[in-house]
Amino acid sequence: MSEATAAPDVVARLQAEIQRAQARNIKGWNYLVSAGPQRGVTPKDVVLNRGTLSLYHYRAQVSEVYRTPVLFVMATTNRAFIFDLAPGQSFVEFLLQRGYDVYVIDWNPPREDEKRLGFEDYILDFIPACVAEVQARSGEDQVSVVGYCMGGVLALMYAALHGEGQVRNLTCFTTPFNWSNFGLFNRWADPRHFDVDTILDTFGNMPADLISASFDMLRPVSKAVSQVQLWDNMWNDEFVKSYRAFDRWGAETLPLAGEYFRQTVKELMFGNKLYTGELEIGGRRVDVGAITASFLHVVAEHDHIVPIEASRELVERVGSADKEQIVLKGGHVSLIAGPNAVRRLWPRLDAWLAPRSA
Amino acid sequence: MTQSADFVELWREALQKWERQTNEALTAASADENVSRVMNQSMAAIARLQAKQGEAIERELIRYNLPSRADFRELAARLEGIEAQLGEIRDLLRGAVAPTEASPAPPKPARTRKPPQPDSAG
Repeated sequence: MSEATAAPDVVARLQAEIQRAQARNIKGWNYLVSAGPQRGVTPKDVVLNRGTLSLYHYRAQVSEVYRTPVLFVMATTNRAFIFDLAPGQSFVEFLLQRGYDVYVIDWNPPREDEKRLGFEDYILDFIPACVAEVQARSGEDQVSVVGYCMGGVLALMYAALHGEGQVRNLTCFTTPFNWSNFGLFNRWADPRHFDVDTILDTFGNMPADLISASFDMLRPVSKAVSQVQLWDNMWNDEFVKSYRAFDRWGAETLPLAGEYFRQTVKELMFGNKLYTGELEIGGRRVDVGAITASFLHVVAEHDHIVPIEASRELVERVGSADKEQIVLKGGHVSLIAGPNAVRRLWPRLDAWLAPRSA
Repeated sequence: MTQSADFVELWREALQKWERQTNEALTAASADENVSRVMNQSMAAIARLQAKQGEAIERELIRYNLPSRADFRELAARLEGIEAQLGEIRDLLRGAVAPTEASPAPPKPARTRKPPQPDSAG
C-alpha cells in the first residue's frame, strides 16, 4: 500500500469519526434526558397475582393456536420481561405469531413476610397453582413447561414431582444440574467460609445487590467496558436501544426469598442433592429420572453463569424416552434474547415444540 | 479498510483483549481459597454490623415515637392487599354494571393448529 492511497483513507476515517463524535454528543444528551425504552408491551392479562408470584396470559395474535398451552417459568433472580424485551425483539411475540398460547410466570421482589418461602412453596404451591390456572383457561389437561436458568430447576423439580400427565413437554434453557461443576460459584460459596445463615438471619431475604455483585464478579471489568462500548456506539440508535433494554433488565435483579436461597445454597450448592437424587421436597424425593414428558435442554456454548459442565449431564438423567440436548452459540442471556436468540434459539424451539403441541 | 485507517478498530480490539485478560486474571485471583475466605468473612462482618446499626436505629425511632422501616413495610403490605381487593371489586363491577361497554373479551382462538409440513416450514 502506498502512502498516497493510505492518506485519503485516513482522512475519510477521521471525517467519519468526527461525524460520529458529533452524533455521540447529540444522542448522548438525549440518552441522559430520555426515559428508557418500554419493555414487556405485548398485550397480556395478569391472571394470578399472589405476593411474589405473578402469572401472565398473553393475548393471542392469530386465530388458530396449537392445542397445548406453553407456560414459561422465569428465573427467580430477574424479571420476565427478558422474554418480551421490545416489539420485534420479543420471544413471546414470536411464539404468539407462530401460534402458541403463551403464559409466563414472573416473580416480584419477595416482601419481608415472604422470607420463609422455600422450595415447598414454589414447587408444591406456586407452579401447581399456575398450571391449574392454565388448564382452567385453556381447557387442556396438559401443558408445555419452559424454564430458564433457575426457572428451569424449578420446572424440573415440578415435573419430577407432578409427572402424572400434566406436563406434555418440558424445555429447559441453560439449567444447572450438577452443582459441583459451577466453577467460581463453588469457590465463593465454599461451605467452610460462606455463612449463609448469618446473611439471611440479618437480612431476611437475600438482598438483590449481593446477588447482582456476585454476577458482576464473574466478569469484573465487563460492566465498565460496556459503558465505554456504549459511548463508542452512541451514534447507533439500534445499539443504544438494545443496550438500554438489556442494561435495564440486568439492573433489575431481584432479591430472593430467604428460605429459598438457604435451600438453594445448602441443598443444591453444598449438597448437590438434585444431582445425587437426595433432594426432598415436602417429604418426597425429587428424581429427574421420573420425568417422562418430551424433554429439550438448550445450553449456551459460552455461558459464564451456568457453565456447560454444570448443565450437560441433565439430558442423560431425565427419564423421558423423547429427549434431546442442543448446544447453541451464545451466552447466558444472549441465548434467549437479542439478535443471537432471534436467529438461533427461537426457531429451534418452534421447530421442536410445534409437532409436540398439536 | 487499509491497516493505516484501522486505528479505531485497533483500539476496539485492544479494549476487548484488555477486558478478556483482566477478567481472567481477576477471576483467577478470586478463585483462591484465601480470597474466598476473606470475602465471605467481610460479608458476614458487614451483615452483622448492619444488623447492629438497624437495631440501634430501631431503638432511636421508638424513643422518638417515629415509625420504623418495618412499620412502613407492614403498611406497604397492607396497602398492597387493599389495592388487590379494590382491583377485584373494580373487575366485578365492570362485569356487573356495564358488560357491553367494557372492552369485550377477544374471541378465543381455535386450538386446532397443525405444525407446518417440513417442506413448507419457514
